[in-house]
Amino acid sequence: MNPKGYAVYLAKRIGQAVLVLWAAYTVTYVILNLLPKNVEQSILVARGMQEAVGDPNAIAQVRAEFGLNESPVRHYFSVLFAALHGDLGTSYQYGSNVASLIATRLGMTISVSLLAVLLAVVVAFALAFAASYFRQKTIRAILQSLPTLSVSVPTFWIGLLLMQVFSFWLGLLPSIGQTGWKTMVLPVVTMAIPVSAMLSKLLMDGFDTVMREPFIVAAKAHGFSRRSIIVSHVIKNGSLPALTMLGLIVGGTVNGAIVAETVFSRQGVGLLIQQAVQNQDFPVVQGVVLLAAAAFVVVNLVVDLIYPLLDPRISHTAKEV
Amino acid sequence: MSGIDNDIIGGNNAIGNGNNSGATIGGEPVIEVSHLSVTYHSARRDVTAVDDVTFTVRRGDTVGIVGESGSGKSTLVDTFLGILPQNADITGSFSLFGEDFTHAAEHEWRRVRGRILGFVPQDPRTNLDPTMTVGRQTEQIVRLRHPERSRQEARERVVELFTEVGIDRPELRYRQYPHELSGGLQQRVLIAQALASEPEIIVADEPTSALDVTVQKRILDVLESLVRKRGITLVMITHDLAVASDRTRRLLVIHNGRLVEQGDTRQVLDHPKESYTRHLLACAPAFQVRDNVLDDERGEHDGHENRAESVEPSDDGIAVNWNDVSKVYHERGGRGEAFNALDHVSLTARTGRTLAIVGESGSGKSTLLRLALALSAPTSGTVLVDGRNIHELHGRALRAERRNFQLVQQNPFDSLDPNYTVRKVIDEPLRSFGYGNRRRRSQRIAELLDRVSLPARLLDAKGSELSGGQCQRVAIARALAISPKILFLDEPVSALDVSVQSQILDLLKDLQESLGVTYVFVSHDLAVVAGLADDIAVLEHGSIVEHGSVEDVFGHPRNAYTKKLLDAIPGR
Amino acid sequence: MSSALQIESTVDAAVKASPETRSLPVRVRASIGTALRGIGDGLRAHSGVSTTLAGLFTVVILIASFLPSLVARKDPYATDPAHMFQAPSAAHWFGTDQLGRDLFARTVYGAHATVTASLLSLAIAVVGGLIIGIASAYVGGIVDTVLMRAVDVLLSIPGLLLSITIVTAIGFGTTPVAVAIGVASLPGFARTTRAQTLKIRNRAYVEAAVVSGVSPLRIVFSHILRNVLGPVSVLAMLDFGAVIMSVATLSFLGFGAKPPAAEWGSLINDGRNYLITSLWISLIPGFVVVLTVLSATVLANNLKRGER
Repeated sequence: MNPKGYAVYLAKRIGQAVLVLWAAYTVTYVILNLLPKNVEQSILVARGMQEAVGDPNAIAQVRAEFGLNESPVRHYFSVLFAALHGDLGTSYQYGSNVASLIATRLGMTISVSLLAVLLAVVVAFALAFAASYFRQKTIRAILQSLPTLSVSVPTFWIGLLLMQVFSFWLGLLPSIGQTGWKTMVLPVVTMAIPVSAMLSKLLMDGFDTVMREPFIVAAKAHGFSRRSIIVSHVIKNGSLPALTMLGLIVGGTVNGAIVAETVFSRQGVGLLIQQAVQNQDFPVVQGVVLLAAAAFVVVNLVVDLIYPLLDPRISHTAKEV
Repeated sequence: MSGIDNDIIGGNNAIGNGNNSGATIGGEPVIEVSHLSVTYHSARRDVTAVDDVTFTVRRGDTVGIVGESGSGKSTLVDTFLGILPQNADITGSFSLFGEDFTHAAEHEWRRVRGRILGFVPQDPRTNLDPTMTVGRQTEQIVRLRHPERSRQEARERVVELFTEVGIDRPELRYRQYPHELSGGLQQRVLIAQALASEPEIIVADEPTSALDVTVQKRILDVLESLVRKRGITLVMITHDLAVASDRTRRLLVIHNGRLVEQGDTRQVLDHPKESYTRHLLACAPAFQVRDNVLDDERGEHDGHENRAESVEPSDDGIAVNWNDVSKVYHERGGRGEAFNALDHVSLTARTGRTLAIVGESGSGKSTLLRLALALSAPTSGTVLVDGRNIHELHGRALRAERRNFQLVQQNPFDSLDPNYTVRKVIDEPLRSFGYGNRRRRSQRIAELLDRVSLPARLLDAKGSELSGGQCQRVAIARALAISPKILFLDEPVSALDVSVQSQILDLLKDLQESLGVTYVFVSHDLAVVAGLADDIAVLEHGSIVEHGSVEDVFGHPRNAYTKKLLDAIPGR
Repeated sequence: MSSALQIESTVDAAVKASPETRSLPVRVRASIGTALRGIGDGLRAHSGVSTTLAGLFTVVILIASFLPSLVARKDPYATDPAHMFQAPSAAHWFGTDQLGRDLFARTVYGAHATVTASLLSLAIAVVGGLIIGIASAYVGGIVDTVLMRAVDVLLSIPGLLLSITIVTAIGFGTTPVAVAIGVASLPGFARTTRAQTLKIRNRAYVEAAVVSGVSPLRIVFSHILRNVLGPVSVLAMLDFGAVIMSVATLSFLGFGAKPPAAEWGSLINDGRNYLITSLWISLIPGFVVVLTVLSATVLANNLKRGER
C-alpha cells in the first residue's frame, strides 16, 4: 500500500475515533442529565452539608459555582468546551478538579490492570495451545471447560475467595493495603481470571476452527508434525478473531478494576467511580466513563492499524467503514 | 500379509470381475484394500459409509473411483490419507506400499505422509494458509522433505516447481498471498505443493466439480501430464463418469458404500455388467448430448426421445424480451471500478419454447435472469415480460404482475424456509395471489404434489427432511402453483447428483409439454440444456457471442468460445 | 467393548509389523489410550448428567424466584439476636447472619429479586435488540447507518460502566438496576440481530417469497423474524448467566435495593466484614450465584449445539 493512502486512512481513522469519543461523552451527558433532579441538593449532600439543603444562600453559591444557571444546551456546550481543554469539571464530593482527581489515582489502577492483562494473555495462550496440542479427549474436555467454568464465577466472589484463602487461612498475602508488591498480587489475580477466561475462550474457538480448516488437513497430509502445524499456521490464524474482540478485554478489565478495587479497598479509579455513584457525583462518573471509552477507542484503533500486518487479506485502502 | 493377498483375489472374484482382463498395467500394488468397512458413530445413529470394499491399486496406474454424493467415496479418500475423524471405526484392512495401516497411530502415519497425497482443487483457497505467501508455504514443504537444503535452495526449487505447473511469473507469485491469485493459479499452487512432497500416489478428490469447464480441462491436463512424466499413481475420485472415462485406465463404481463394479475403464463403460452402472451411464448428461443431439456412433441409449425433433409449437409469440439492456455494478462506495455485468444485450424468449442461456460464472447470465424477475433494475435498456415493462411497475402492481412469471432456484435446500412444511411452502404463492379459499388451496396443493411426482405423505415434512431432488420438486411445485406463463430456471439441477439431474430434467420436459409454459433456463453446462432447449444463447463477459437453435449451436458453432465450451464437455 | 478389541488388534498389527522396535511403547501407549478413552466416554456420558443437573437446578432456582414463600418458610427479615452468626445446621440450612436472620430464606428471597430482575433485563435487551436490528437491516440506507453508529457508540462504553451511569441517573434499586443492565446489553443484541437478518435476507427462500408475491411486511414476520429468533434466543440464553452476574455485581457495589431487602449481590457484600469469623454468610450465597450462572451456561451451550 502506498504511504499516502496510509496517511489518509490513518487520518480518517483517528477522526472517527475522536467522533466516537465525542458521541460517548454526549451519550453519558444526556443519560446523566436525563431526569430533572435537584442537583444543588446532590452537591450539598455529597459534600456532607445536609443541614445546608434548605439554605438559599448555600444553594445560590452552589448554582453559581457549577454554572447551573445556564440553559441546558449552553451548559452542555460549556462543559464540552472545557472537556476539550482537559477540564472535566469539579467533583461534587471533593470540590477538586475531576481530571486531576483521576490522574492521581490512575497510576494505581493502570499498574494492576496491565499486570492482570499480561497474566491473562499468557495463561490464555498457554491454555489454548494445550487444548489444541493434546489429542486426548479427556484432557481437551477439561481444558475446554475451564473458561466456561471461570466465566461463571462472579469477579467479586473470586476476590473474596482468594482473600479468604491467601490472607485469612494461609496468611501469605495482605487482604487490603496500597503499597508493596504483595498487596498487588490478589487484585491482579482476581482481575486476570475473568479476562483470561474470556480470552482463552476466544482463542480456543479460533484455534479449533483453524484446526478444522482444509489447509491444516493438507499440512498434516504432507507430514508436518502437530506442533509445527500449530506454531506455523494455527496460532497466527487462530488469534485473528480474538484480536478483533480486544475491545471486550478492555471492558473486562474496567469491570475487574471496579470490583477488585472495591473488594481490596485500593484507592484507584475503580473505587473512585464506585464512591462517585454512591454520592451522585456526576462529573466524576462522566470523567471515568470518558476515560474508559478512550481506552476502548484507542485499543480498537491500534488493533485496526496492526490487523492488516497480520492478515494480508485485509488492506486499509479497500476497507470502507 | 499373505492372508490379505488371498482376500484380494477372493474379493475380486466375489464381485464377478475376475482378473481375466489381466490387470497388466502398473507395477507392484501400492494400495491394497481388503473387506474394508468404515462406520461413523454418532450419538443418534451409526452410519456405515464404506461397506466391505476390496480392491488393489498398482504403481503407475490411473484409477477412477466413481459414485454419487453420499456413496462413500470421500470416506475412502480420508481413509487412505489417514485423516478420518475420530468417531470413525474401521474394520477389514488396507495397506499402503505393502504395509498395513488399518489402525495406524499418528506417528506411524508420519512415515508415509508426503508419499501419498491428496489434491483437493475444489475451493482451492481453503487449502492454502491465507496469512502466508504461497511461496513460503510451498517452501516449508520442500524443506520438510529435504531438511538439508538451505532456504535459498528450497526457494529456487519452489520457483522451479511453479514453472513446471505452468504458473506465470513464478518469482512474483512466490511473494503473493493466496487471495491475490485467481482460482486457476491457486489450483496450480496446490499441484506444485503436492509435487514438492515428491509423492508416489496422488489422490485427486473431485477435481472437476465447482469449476468452470475450461479451467477444469486445463487443470486436468496439467495434472495428467505431470503424473505421466513422473510415474505417479493417480487415484481420481469423481461423480462425473465422463471425466473418469477420459482420464482413467481403471474404474471402480461405488454405490451406497459398496463397490458394485470394477475393471478397465473402457470395458466397464462399454459393457457395464451392473444395473447401477448402466443407470449412471444413462443419466450422465454428457453422454446424452452424444446420444440425443449429435447422433454419435454410440446409439444404445434407453428411452430418451429426441427433443430436437419434437413437435413445433404453433404459437410463436414473445414471452420475454431483453431490449438493449446493460447492467453496470459499482464497487461499494462508488469510487471503485465499474464492472459491466451486461453490455447492450438484446434477446428474446419465444412463447412455449425453452430458451437456454449458457455461460461460465461471471458471464452475466444470472444478471439477465434477475432483471427479468425485477429483482434488480437495468442500468439502461428495457425488459418486457409477457409484453409489460416490469421495471415501470412498483409495489402492489409489481407483486400482482408476478403471477405471470415464477422462478426455480439453484440451491434446492436453501430455497425452502427451514421452518416451513411442504404444504406451507406451496401455499405461499397461492395465498399471496388470493387463490381461492382454504379448501381450494388444499386441493390445488395436492394436485401440484402429484404433478411433480411427490407422495402426499411429504405434505407435512420440512425441507431439512427431504433430499435435494425432492426439495427441487417442491420448488417446482411452488413455482407452478399459480400457473405462470413463464418459468425462470436458474441452474435448477447443478446442485444435484447426476441421476437426480436427469429425473428433474425429465419432469421439466413433461411439465412443459402438458402445460405449455415458457422456460428460460440458465446453466453453465451446455450438456445439461442440450436435451431441453429449443434456442441457445451463449454469453461471455456480458455479451451474447452465439445465439441460435439448438441444432445450429451444437452442429455448427460459429464462435470460438462456444467451440471451447463444447470441447470442454467431458466424454466428447 | 468393541474399542478395546480394536486396540488389541492395533497392537497386534503393530507388533507384527516390527516386533523388536515398537512392541513395548505401543503396548503402553495403547493401554493409556484405552484408559483415557474410557474416561472420555465417561465424561461424554456425564455430559447428559450435567445437563440434567443444570436443568434441575435451574428449575429449583426458577421456583424459588417466582414463589419464594413456597420454598423458604422462614421470614427473611426476622432478626433474632439470640441466634446470631450461627453456622449452617438443620435449623438454619445456610446459617444465620449478624442479625440472626435465616440465610436460606434470605438467599431464596434474593433469588426472587435477582432472577426476576435479570429476566426483565433480558426482555428489554432482546425485544429492543430485535426491533432495532431488524429495522436496521431491513430498511437499510440512512436508517441503518444512524442506528448502527448509535450502537457502536454505546458499545464503546464498557457494559458495566454504561449500566452504572444509567443507575446513577435513574436511581438505585432492583428495577432500576434491571433496566440499566437491559439497556446496556441492548446494543449487542441489536448488532447480532442485524447480522442474522442480513444473512437471512440473502437466503434463496426470501427471494423465492418475493417472487411468490409476498409483501415485504409479511416477509419480515413470516420468514425473517422466525429464522432470526432461533439464534437470538440462543444468544439470550448464553447471556442470561452474564446478566445475572451483572445484576449481582451492581448489587454488590451497593446500587441495588436498600437494606434490609435481600439480593444476591448485597447478601455477599453484607457478609464481607465477617469473612474471618463467619465465612458462610458471604460464601454460600456466592456459591448459589455460581451454580445458577453455570447451569444457565451449560443449558445454553446445549441449546447452541442443538441449533447447529
